[in-house]
Amino acid sequence: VSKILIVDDDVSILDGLGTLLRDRYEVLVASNGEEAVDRLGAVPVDLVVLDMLMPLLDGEGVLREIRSRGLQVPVIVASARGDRLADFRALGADDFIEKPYDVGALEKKIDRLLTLRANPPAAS
Amino acid sequence: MPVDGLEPVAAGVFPLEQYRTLVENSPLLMWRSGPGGQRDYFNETWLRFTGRSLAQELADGWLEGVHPDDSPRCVETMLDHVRKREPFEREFRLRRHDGLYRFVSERGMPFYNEAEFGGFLGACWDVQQRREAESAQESALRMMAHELRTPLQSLSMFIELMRRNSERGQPSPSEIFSKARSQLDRLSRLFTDLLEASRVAELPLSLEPLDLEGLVKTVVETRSRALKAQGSARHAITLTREKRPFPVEADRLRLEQAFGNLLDNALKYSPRGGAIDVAMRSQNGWHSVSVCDAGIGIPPEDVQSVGQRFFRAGNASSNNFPGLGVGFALARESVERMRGAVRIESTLGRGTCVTMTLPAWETEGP
Repeated sequence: VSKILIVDDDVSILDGLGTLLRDRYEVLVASNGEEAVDRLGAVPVDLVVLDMLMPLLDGEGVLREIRSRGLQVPVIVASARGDRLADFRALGADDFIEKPYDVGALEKKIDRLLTLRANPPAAS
Repeated sequence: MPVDGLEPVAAGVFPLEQYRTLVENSPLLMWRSGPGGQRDYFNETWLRFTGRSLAQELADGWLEGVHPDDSPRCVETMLDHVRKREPFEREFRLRRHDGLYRFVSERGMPFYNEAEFGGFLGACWDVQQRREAESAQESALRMMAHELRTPLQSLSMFIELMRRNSERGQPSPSEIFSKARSQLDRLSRLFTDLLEASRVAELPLSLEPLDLEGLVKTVVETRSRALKAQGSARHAITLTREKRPFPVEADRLRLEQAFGNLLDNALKYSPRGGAIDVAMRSQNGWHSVSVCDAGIGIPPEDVQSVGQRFFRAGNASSNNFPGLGVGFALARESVERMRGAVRIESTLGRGTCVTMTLPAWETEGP
């Protein structure tokens, strides 16, 4: 089973999304950026769903930290700031979903990235 | 028609001395420049604003007070205006006597001696507050969208859970319904807050004598229970009080709300947790409650402004501490309407203490 880390400062989102995704994946949660970075340092995960607006360390900080540690884990940014898509990509986000989103749509994105990770395209 | 015993005068026929009085006491920062753009006059208001002497400001001296980022543009546009000899308007940051840069709006009018271009007459006025209000409004709208979006997002998740359960012919545990319900409650609370913010000054207060200690205790207990229910052990709220009664005359609902806002802020702005000390004291006919946290604190330059609605301190960006910036302002406005006061003391990076004071309610007789 793939291991997914959900990072969001809102407990109800961690709760709701966590319950939904636990059907198919193993789910870890973190309620702020620092916790997320700690988690990632302790356990290898297969994918991260990352909120951007958080205290202590925001989503951008987490993305920077992940990439500066050389972690290749795919990250889906969940944010209301669709206008900042290019910035998120530049920071190393693999995909983006605009809040509020449909969980089915998020699951499709998760599956796509997990498949890509399991069968990386041959280097050209 | 005579006005107050005087004949109305056409502009331009005032005695010079009266013009002088007008100009030197005007709320506008005024100046004059020669044909080359170099300034040869500043009024009293200008000199009081910048806290500099006329000699320092003359010619291009005043440019030293212009924000370094704005000064090249200022010089450039000045040369352009001198060339065109047309009226102009612009905004830039000018250093006030206290060292703070304020945005000022400036208007310049060309003047002529006989037919010869003489230079510009100009006036500036402080537009910092207007600019701050505009940007506060903008960020308030953005935050409002965020604050509404979050409960909507989780509500849609809980409903999706119920849908998936029903698709499989499984009943949904009742807690999912309560969770969905609590997100709805959260939405309606947000709407109530917004409505409150728009009409707090108009709603009549319903004052009654009440026991401040009981009210504070209830709010503290509610918050402590909520923290426990969320499984959050980061904060410990302690209540200390002098052993004496704390009777006040207040609007119960509003006072609960005001104190609740102060307590919520203390929790929110101490994201690493720690002790929240609530202390009740009494002195000289005033009862006070203070809420102290060991949180992020407020930058000194922002302490004065946190009482304004929609103001967010510089270290509370929408990226890390979502909020509308109305909680403290509403609390302060409410308490002031109950003839009380709210005081704030803060050290950046160390924490904040907010003290709410109300006049003691004296019962009849000695």
